[in-house]
Amino acid sequence: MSEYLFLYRAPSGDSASPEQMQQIMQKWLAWFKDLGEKGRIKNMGQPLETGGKVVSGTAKSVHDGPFAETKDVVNGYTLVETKDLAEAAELAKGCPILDRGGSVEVRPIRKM
Amino acid sequence: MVATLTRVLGVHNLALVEDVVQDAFCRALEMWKFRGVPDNPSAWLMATARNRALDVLRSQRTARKFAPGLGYLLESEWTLAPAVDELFAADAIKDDLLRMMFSCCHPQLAEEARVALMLNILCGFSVDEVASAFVSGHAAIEKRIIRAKKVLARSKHLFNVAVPADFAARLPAVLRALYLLFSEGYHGASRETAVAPNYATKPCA
Repeated sequence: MSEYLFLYRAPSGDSASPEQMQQIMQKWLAWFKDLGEKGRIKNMGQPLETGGKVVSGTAKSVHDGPFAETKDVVNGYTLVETKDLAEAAELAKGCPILDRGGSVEVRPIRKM
Repeated sequence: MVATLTRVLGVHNLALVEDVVQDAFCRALEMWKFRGVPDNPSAWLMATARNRALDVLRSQRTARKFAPGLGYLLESEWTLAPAVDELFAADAIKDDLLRMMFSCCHPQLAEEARVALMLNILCGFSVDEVASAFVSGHAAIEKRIIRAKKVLARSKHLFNVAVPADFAARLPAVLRALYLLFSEGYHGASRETAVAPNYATKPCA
């Protein structure tokens, strides 16, 4: 068994009404419950607010960002434990973000 | 409200449950004084209790263990609010009341203790109100209720009404407790018999 990180990205400009939001949250809950029952969740992780700070470079400059309109903004993460990368990717197919045109990046944890 | 909160926070956190309920009612008193009673007071109270429960879960999730079986769902913002909402949904509430009634009929508690517990926790009776229902003194009833709550809090989890054998085994006790609950209301031997009929019709939480 190895650990893999799911990085969730929603399509930019994705918006939902409160009722839609509720339904979406229900789907996430159901998916997580399923993964939990299969013993695949190492750490369920957290959703992330858009809009934070980006600290970069040797100058250590601090800028506002990333912004919701930016492509490829990560809006949450989960740590799973599976047999291999193929199984992790297979599990990621159940993620509700895909129905909204988003994506799940599946990255193996690097053992240093 | 108590029953659902106990399901969310865990029976071992019964004292915390009661704090949250108190909070909700205090908030109601403050808010309703200025803004008037809302159209749907019980929905307002439940929503307040739900929000307070979320606050408690968020601030104390490292310090405390909450409802068994829900653990990991309460640790992450992905699932915290929807999981709590599921438990506050109408059908779940009816199940919670039933579960709570069965839990109060704990085998280690005497019949009178079980009824006193149900009156206090589920029907929201003050110690004095329970005492007059039992034609007993305040101190004796208070001790009885405190001891009963300790026994309840020590049980590892709420009674599981879905297991047929356990359900059947405890049903006679629950029926008897309900009978006593209602018979005290109609034929209470207390001096204030005029007040007693109120008990039978008083809405349970």
